[in-house]
Amino acid sequence: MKENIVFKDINFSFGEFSVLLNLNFSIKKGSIHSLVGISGVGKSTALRILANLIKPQSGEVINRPEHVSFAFQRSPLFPWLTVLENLTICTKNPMELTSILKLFRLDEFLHSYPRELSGGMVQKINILRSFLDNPELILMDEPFVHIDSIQKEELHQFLLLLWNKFRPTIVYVTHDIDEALLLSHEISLFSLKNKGVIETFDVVDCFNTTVLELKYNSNYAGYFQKIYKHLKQDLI
Amino acid sequence: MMKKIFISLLTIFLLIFFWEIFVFLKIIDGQFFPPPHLFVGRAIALMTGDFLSQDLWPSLLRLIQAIMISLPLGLLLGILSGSSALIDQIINPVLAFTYPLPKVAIFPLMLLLFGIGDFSKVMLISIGIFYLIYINVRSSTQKLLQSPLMDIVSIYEIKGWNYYYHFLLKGIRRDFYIGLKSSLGYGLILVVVSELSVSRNGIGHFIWQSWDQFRVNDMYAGIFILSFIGFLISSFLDYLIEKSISL
Repeated sequence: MKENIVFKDINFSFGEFSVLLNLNFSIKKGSIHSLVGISGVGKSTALRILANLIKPQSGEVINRPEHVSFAFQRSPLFPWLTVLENLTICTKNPMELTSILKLFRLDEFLHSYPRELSGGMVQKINILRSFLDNPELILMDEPFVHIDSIQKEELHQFLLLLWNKFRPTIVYVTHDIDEALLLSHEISLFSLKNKGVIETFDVVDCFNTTVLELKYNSNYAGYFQKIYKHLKQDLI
Repeated sequence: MMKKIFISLLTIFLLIFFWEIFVFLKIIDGQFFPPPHLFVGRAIALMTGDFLSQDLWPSLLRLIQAIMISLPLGLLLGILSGSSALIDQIINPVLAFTYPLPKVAIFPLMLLLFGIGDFSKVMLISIGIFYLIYINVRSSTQKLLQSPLMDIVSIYEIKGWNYYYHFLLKGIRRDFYIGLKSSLGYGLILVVVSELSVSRNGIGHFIWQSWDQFRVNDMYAGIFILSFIGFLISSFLDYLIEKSISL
């Protein structure tokens, strides 16, 4: 029996401003779990607590895996290093890199600098890097937020391909409803009013479908409405 | 790029052209402003004669020695000060207090401490160069260590050689070159200043002697050579700055 990762009574505040209040929810090991909510709701804070980048004032994360990696949204690569150097300094097995890059047909970009690549390609490298050394848990903070919808679909497929190969637990932060439905087994709704998760539910029937297939899924409208209503209500 | 070079060269050629014309038409006095062809010719003659070994080389050697002292020191203290709040509290107040002091003003102190030989000159130039390198490296290190890239460093546990070389040194490289460019310009000023009074050789000494003996053409030739060296150093560093990527 795999043990879930559990957020237990987590409280976090920036000075007087409380961000998370008694946050309780759990993440199934080996699944992709999306955290959905409007901006400023504490999704990224929860992710950073999970990554041990910040410490909560109280509460704990139970069963946090040892080996955690992170795909960041802002400045994901070192601008002064080439793609190969960016990957090499982040792995303990640099010898395996060339074969992985060949496998995913990324070897032609090895000696390019991030500024010479498209936003989509930078995120592809960012995602690939987060899978290096086979981490048990990968955290993703809206990595595709600035990518156009066609490239985004390709990146989703790339991400799912990697997940299928290595099967880590992924916690994915997004405010894009379709993206959350396509990529996740489960979704947790973050609420600004409650300063935490108000509901976690299964969306596995939409998982790993294309954008078009998703729209024709019989449960799609129901899920969409539920999340949409929640986001709307949270704004008021 | 070619257009930029062409425009830059055009400005220089126009300046030379009008200078020559004005001297020829006696609008300006050729005795005080000799036409460029005269002093450039003289500069070329100087560069192929004894001037090269007796004046230019000693000056360059002083500059090189000063760089060898101040560059590693500025880089090391800049990185230490930029990466540790405690070290910054210890080092920075002293350096911030002494930085605004015109370095020329402490030349007599250097002479008093190190005598009238070469070492006092080298020390004066080193001190001048040091501050600009230190200031740039310190602020660049602070900026880098407070950037979101630090999250990558901690998540992927980037340590040792990868941290110090690929992250830190390569990350601050561009600002370091910018600091070096300004500091070498300042270094050249100090080379000349230190050679004006108590020196038996050097390009500063040559320019001063030329003025003293009313060899106006030589004085202009010396200034021209000095400008040319400054231009070469500056162009080389511009190339390095353009090539390097920062935050």
